[in-house]
Amino acid sequence: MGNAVVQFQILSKVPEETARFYSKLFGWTVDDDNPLGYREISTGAPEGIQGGIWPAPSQAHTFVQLFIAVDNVRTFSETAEKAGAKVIIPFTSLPGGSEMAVLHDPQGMSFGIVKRK
Amino acid sequence: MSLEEIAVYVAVQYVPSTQVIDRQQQLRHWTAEGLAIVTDPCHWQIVELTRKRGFRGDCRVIAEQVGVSVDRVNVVLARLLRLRLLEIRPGGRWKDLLGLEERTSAGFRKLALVRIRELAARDGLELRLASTRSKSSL
Repeated sequence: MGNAVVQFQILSKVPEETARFYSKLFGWTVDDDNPLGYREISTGAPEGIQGGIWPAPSQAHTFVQLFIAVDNVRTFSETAEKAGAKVIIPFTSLPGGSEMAVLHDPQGMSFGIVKRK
Repeated sequence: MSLEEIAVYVAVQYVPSTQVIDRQQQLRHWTAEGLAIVTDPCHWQIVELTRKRGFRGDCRVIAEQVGVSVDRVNVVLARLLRLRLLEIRPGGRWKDLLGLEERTSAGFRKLALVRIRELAARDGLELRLASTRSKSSL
């Protein structure tokens, strides 16, 4: 089965500027008309994954997270912790019914896990 | 050895190690979280909103109600989730995890700062109350 990388997320302290930059450079479309006001990125390409932009807190650098598909966010979070990960954002339900969590790997790199509805 | 190579070895003496930099970043992160809690009333405002009748877990609506941008709501939301002060349950129900008997903004801030200390301790950081010996205080 495998656990595919299904989404990228850019965390930016200036999300609107980031959206404008990538839209202009690559022709991506950015749509924030959803209950989170989340800037969903559509690359317009048939291959590859789609993404989004989330506002980063003031102390963070701008960075990219990859979101990886799992069957069960809660149990996978526990498995990841046993493997040395730290849960940063615990199980969270998203509008539309998907579920996600954000973790740090043992080297401190953040990644997301998501169960899509 | 050339002068340029000597210059590299001299410069290295002034560069903090990766371990020191990582520690500083962790400290920077947790103190920034604490500063956000004590200076931004949005955290408490949003938590209180979730208890109101008819609350909608829609960041655009929350932003209008609180009088801030959607991005600010999202930064605050992510922080509340990180600090385990709020969760969004299946079905999209926002639930605060404060467990406070007396719900005041001061009580909220105190709880949030205790939570920050607990989570920082998970990173091996001891954030002490202000003292002449501590390098970081919270």
